[in-house]
Amino acid sequence: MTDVCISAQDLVFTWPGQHQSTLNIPALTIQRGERVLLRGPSGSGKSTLLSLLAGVHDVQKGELQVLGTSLKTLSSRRRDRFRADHIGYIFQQFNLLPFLSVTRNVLLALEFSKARRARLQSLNTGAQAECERLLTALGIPQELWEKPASQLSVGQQQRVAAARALIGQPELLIADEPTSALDTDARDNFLALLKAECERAKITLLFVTHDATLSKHFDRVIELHQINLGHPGASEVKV
Amino acid sequence: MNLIRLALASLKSRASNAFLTVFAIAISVTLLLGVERVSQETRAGFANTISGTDLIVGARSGSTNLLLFSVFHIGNPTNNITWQTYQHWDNNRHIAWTVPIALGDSVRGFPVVGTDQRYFEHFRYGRQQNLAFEHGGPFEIGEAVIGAEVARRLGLELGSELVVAHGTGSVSFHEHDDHPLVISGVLARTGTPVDQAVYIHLRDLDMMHGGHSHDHEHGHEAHEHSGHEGHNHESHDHGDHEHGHSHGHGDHTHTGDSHEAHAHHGQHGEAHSHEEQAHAPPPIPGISAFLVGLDSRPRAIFLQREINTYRDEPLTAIMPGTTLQDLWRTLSGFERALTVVSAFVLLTGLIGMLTMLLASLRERRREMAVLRSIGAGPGTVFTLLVSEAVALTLAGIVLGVALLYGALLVLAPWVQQSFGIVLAVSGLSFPEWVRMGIVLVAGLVISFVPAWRAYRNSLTDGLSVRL
Repeated sequence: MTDVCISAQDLVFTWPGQHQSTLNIPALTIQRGERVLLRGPSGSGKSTLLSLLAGVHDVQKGELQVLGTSLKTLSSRRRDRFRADHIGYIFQQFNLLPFLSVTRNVLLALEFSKARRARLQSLNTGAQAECERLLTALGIPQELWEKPASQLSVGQQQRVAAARALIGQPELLIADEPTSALDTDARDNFLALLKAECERAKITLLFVTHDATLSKHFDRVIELHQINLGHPGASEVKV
Repeated sequence: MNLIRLALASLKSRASNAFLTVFAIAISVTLLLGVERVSQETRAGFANTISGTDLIVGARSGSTNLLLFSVFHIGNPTNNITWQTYQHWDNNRHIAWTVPIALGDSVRGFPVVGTDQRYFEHFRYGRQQNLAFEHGGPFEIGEAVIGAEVARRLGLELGSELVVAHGTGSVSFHEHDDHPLVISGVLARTGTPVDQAVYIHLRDLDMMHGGHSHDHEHGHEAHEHSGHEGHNHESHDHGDHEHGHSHGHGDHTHTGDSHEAHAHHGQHGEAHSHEEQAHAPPPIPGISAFLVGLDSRPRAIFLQREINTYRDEPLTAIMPGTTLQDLWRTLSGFERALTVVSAFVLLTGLIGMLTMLLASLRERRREMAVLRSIGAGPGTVFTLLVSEAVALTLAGIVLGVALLYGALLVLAPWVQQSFGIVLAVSGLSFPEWVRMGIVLVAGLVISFVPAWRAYRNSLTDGLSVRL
């Protein structure tokens, strides 16, 4: 088993209809267990890189390996399964299905992945037990567990989203500006909990933000505009 | 995979929209099935109304009219057949049996059929079933037999008295209350117009119309308007005059024969009178129609022509099966039109569902992105939308069937009363399953539109949704 979690070489991505590449990364390596802050302002090619890592879009040129698997060689269906099994993903906000209960939101991640269920089994824990452990660890009061997700505060929702991303111990956790909607206290609290859980399960954390003040929480900071030689810009408009 | 549960939970969060969609589909399903049900039952009712009768003979008229009044008790006979003519054909050597029928009166809206005991012997319905008595037995003079529905609706039972009214309306201005009849039998339910009728002896019918009178001037019309005192007088005489009543002419029948018929009768009465007068006096001067059973069925076509060309009196003979089919063919155009209308209602319901699903897609792009992030492929998103539409359609079908049965339970008695069509609250028939299948498939096909769009969205959006 390799110690490298993410490795990219001469990774070039051009959106259809664009003349210039949005992404052009000659080299990027992230070790397993590393906690990396990927910093990049809007329009730096961030979303494109994340969707390639998550296997939502095809790798067009160059090499991109996650956990030793070349995403280029996988069909889109296999990439979906790869994501389900190995990658936890947290959005900026609106992570939860508002009509499902907190618990069911968390357990949903297991329904798409046999590997996550198997890992829970090898840890001698059940889905429900692990879900409750994570929710407790992330500070969600028990009386909220069966409430619809829509009744939770934004901070609580983000922590439930973290629980869902972490359940079944995926190797890689991608968090795409998960704290941007939180106030400072909630943000620090969230980061601390996330860090603790990642450490506990030896999960590689790729944390994306444009907030430089967070760098103290991470092993390493990668400035995207320094490693990306492409020309993002108009093609990546994030509102 | 708990995709169905997920789809249901998502639907539940949009419950009011979902319910309206389901309701729209349900109404169209109810209509589609209802039209099918009514036409099936009508067709079955038509086909089951009469069997074993080879010919129906009435005065010259349209065959549909003859069928409608003689079997369904709808409409009125245009003219009467004289008893002599009836006797002539009754004695035909190819004819096994006949049953005379005289119509025109009613008991509180239910038609009165003047006939004799042969009716209960020979009349058959459904699959060659004879009439059966729930209680009692055939009538004698002064008695009546009632159909099951009449007994139920009017609360009559064996031994009850009933009074026949002149005319066929449910409100009559003239009742033959001088001549009450005692119920001798209640027929078992048949699901045909038989249930809706009152059967009395021809002779009683004639007496009610003053047919016993020797006085020609005391005709039908005069009788109708005469006072009750007069009636009472006459009724006293009945017993005495019954057997002496042998002339058999005069337009005393209830159906209002013209003087022309009277003249006819006068002419031909002589020719045939020797036959009947040798046996018994005619119970009534004229009848509305008679049913004919033959020794050999294939003869029906020859006999039909023979009767239709009978020169002494203009007659029409029909083969009930053939005429029923003709009648049904006329009505099936109407049925098709109704089906087309309900198909368009279904289309409207499905377009409503399409609109709702498409409109919801916008707000659900986030939902789709979340599902994608935890490993759902675009195919899963597609399946989710399709199963949602199928769930809506299924719910619509189930609700539609429930509405149909609700409507059947509520409306069936009224339909039976008004149209004589028995709407059985029975299980779903094969054509009804087919129609439900068509609705489901149509819902499925229509769901491909939003599902395909969601699929495209989730491909381009990936995990980053731009709202």
